[in-house]
Amino acid sequence: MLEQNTLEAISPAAAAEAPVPAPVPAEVAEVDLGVMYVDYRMLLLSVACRKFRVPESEAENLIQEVFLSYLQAGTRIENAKAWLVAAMCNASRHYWRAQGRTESLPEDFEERCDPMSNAVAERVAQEMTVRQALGYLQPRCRQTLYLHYFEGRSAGDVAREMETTNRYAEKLIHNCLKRAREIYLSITKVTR
Amino acid sequence: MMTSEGHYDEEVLIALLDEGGDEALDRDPHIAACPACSKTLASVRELADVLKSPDVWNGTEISPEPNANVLAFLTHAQSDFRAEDAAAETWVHELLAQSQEAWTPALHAHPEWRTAGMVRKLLEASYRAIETAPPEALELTALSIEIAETLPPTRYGESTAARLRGHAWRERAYALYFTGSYNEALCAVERARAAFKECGYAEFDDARAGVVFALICAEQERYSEGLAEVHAAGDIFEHYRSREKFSAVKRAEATNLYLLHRYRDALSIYQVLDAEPVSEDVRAGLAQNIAACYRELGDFEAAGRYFTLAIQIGSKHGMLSSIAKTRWQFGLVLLAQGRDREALDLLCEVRRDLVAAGRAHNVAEVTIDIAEALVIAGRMQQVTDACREALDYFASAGMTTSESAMSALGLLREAAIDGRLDKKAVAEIRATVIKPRPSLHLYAD
Repeated sequence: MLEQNTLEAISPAAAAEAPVPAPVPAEVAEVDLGVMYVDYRMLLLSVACRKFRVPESEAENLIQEVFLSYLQAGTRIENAKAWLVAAMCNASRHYWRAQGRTESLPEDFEERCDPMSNAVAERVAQEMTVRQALGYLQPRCRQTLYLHYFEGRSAGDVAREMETTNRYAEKLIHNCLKRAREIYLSITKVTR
Repeated sequence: MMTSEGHYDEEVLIALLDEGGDEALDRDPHIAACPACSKTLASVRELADVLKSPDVWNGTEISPEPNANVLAFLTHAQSDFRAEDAAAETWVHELLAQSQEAWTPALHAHPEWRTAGMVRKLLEASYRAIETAPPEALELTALSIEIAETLPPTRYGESTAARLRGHAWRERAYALYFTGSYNEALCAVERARAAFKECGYAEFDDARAGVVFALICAEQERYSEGLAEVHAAGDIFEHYRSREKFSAVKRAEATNLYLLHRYRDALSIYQVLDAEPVSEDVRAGLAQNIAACYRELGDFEAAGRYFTLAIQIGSKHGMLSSIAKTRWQFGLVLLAQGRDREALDLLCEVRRDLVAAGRAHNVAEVTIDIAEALVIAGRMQQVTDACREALDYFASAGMTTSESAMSALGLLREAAIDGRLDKKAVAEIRATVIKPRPSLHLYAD
């Protein structure tokens, strides 16, 4: 049977992905850049490292540049989170363009973060939280969701992969998604 | 299948989503009628959608600990930033206490003033002065550029020095635009954009420069370039969730539309912006622009109402340039209503205010309106002088390349000399070769 009723130990990766603070309008000169760096670091690294596949050490340098440009914006920033994420996307694209002079770019680097999208920050934060929720699931449950939702496999395929019956695989898919949602909601409830 | 409260069980919704797909669920009568089930379904769908993203499954681990070097660097940078700004605040205060002629010598006498903080504070002072004392605002941008151009990259870093240079040139471009030196403004905005390009990560800053470029384009009759620029900048500001900047973009778009004689399109943009919470100075500008659109559409009553509102707000906040422009436009309404003598008196007062504010281009334009009022008032003798003044002002404002405007003025003057000039001829010349004036009161930022 499924073992869904107790949370697994928090994986280091999941524990690290702390909830992202809600956007707050800010006068740039009044904010504490160090505090902001700590608050938004994971979100910005997720954008650079996961969306744009920038190496972490390079991504930290980009974050530094992004915060410096934030400091010198010379105008009121209405939504610090959205501003920083957008600037991080811009910096990551610039990073790959600069790298492109000496090595091949990831094929989809321009599409990794839709520049026209208004909701990049929210989407990245949501993905971080889902990733965190998945960290609490049993490995079997994670694999089920991976096969069905990410790889798009049918319940029959999942059953063969998991060496079980079709009916049980269906139940597994439904229960695992339900469980993932419960955890996701509990995380976001605490966050808010 | 149902819970005790009469809703679908969550597992059932997941199963239905999995088996029936979106269309079947959208047809389900209970879900359609039940807000609770619709909400749960939306949440389940959203989660299932996020699970399809490779980023959720990306195995890249990220170190949870903040990088101590980055943290120390940022803390130090902000500390320096604040210290420089505090010192510069005092220096700018000291500078502004002197006459404008003494500013440059004062800067040269104080090498310690050449800091990034001083550039920032001079730009802030320029922004504050642009409405009340445009020539002073312009001079302040010149000082900021003099400092920004010599900031040592070894002290501030290449990108910081380049970014500040970009800001200084951008404000310079805006001040030049505001005072009517459009060709120089164009050069300045190009310098700003070149500096931002050097930074590498400056699309937000570059978009702000793009708005100034669009405003200059409107004045130089390069409307398609201006509109393309505001659309590009609008996308950037939406991405950065900057409502204020997006509003500035829309105002620049409306300016271009107004000058393209698309008054209804411009008016609808202004009305949308007017319904939003905006600062008082922007509100005054919007009121004036709405009034100008109504005037062009022939609704003089609405135009008068909004002009009055603009003057009230402008007077309350000491916005001298804004008041002058609003009175100018109000003078044109009087002219359209046949109140020629009142219009002429008002337009002549406005010209004096614009001369005092150093707005050469606007002086040239209001002179054309004065010429029209003189024709209507039957004072032909004075039209020739008025036209010659306008030609001189156009030349000094770098508008000699605008052949249509120059030939219109030439025609106007020749017709006055030959005694052929009448109200109809002036109206035809204005409608066919001179843009509808005066310029809208707008802010690039």
